[in-house]
Amino acid sequence: MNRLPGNGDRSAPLFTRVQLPKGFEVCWAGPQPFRDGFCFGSDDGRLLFTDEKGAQLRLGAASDSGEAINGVAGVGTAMAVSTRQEVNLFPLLDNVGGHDFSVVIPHGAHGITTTPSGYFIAPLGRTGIMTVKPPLSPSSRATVYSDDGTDFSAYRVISLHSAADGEVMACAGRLGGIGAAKFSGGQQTQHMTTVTFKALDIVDLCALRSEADSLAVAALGRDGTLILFQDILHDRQPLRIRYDAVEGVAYRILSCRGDIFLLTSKALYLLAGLAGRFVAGEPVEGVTTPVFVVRAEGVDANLCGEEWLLVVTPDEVRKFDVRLMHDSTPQDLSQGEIRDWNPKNFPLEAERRHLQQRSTRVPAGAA
Amino acid sequence: MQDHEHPRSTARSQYRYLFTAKHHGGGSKGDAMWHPSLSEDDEFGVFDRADDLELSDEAGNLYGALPDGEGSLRFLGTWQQQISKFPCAGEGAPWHGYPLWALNDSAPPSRRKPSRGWATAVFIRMVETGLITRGMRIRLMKGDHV
Repeated sequence: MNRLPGNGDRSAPLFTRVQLPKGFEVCWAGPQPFRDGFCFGSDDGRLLFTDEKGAQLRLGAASDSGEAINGVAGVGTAMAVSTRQEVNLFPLLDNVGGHDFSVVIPHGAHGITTTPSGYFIAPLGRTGIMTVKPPLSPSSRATVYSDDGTDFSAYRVISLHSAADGEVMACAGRLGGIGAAKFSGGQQTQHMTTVTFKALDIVDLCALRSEADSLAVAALGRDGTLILFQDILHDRQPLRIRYDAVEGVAYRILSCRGDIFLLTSKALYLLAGLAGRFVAGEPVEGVTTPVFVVRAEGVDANLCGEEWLLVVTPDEVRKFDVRLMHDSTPQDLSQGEIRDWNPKNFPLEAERRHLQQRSTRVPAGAA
Repeated sequence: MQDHEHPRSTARSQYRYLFTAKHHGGGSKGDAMWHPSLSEDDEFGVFDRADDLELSDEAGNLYGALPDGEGSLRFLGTWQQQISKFPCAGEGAPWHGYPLWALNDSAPPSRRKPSRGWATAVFIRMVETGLITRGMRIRLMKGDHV
């Protein structure tokens, strides 16, 4: 099913297929860093920029190693592209994606994002968390925050902000749990608080109110478990829930307009209103959640503002209209693959620890 | 643990296999280590299957994975690695292996070699033989879990 019975518009398509050039094997899709439109990464290290209608604007190499792209971000006049081999940084010239030199940080990353204060920030697995702030030059250096002797493996990182705590960095750390720290660029050490859950492999996390001053976060376990925090920095009793009907290996969790999107190896799930209810302090346990299921083998997914959700499958990129999906739930989602799910609340077996992460300066190479 | 050989050889090529202390906790802190939940038969099974399915690169190295139900792979290493490498051994010498993949951080930056060349061919072969799906191949190429 790819059509949604909507408010008086029964022909509104649930998603459209993005047309990509022949030979462009897409592995990542997300927003253009600097303007409306989309950005696509290929498994041979190329980037394609399009407008929102899919018209091709620019196509070119973006990875020094030619490895598959797993993240793209932009801040100020610089763009960053991550692969499992290295992080590529580009100062921009006139055109989107235009540049005359690049800076290569020789550490593989699982992705890359930005902070409100203008830093690029990337999870480097066991190596730690990398930060670098433009402007860029061929002699630019990155700072890597690392901590020896723990299971924490930085796998996904997000940036948050609150009036009380300023910038906060939160990180999915696989079997090392979930980490959070106040972020101030240039500091020598960083004090990260981690919450670990017995044998729970934390693979992703997202802000629940990205537009607001809020530290509310949802984290995702590889088995589909959700961990919901009202305040990732201070919450000592996050809510841990799981929907038994979620199938497959959990890959991504995203939140928009009060809904939660969960991508697994089997399907895309829309948990209607779950984020909104949780941040409003309304009950989640024992409350039925309307769930919309789109069956497809997921590869990756990213939100583009509050309008679009791009889902990469082995065969194509699907562009979902997030506003339409939100406005159509829960009342209108009465046909097709609609489910009502009750979450199971697990007893929390969390352990809170404090890590002190030291910074080291990493030289970059010009390419 | 001391280095020792598995009692069997691989079915296809009759390769011998050596369990090395280095990759079972006896090495340095930075050495990749097989996951303790894997038995020696499991580890040998990954190698045997890699040989049987001819999951090799141009240099003759073999690469393996262990299915975990439909659409997933077991963790082979203590750092959630889901792929393993078996460097090509000399004529008549036993092979050994270690968990690999996720990020390319297993060597100093100057010694890291882009893996795209071998990975593309090996992962396509894994898809052809049904060991992984096409979606899993794309995720593994990016350093993502499956």
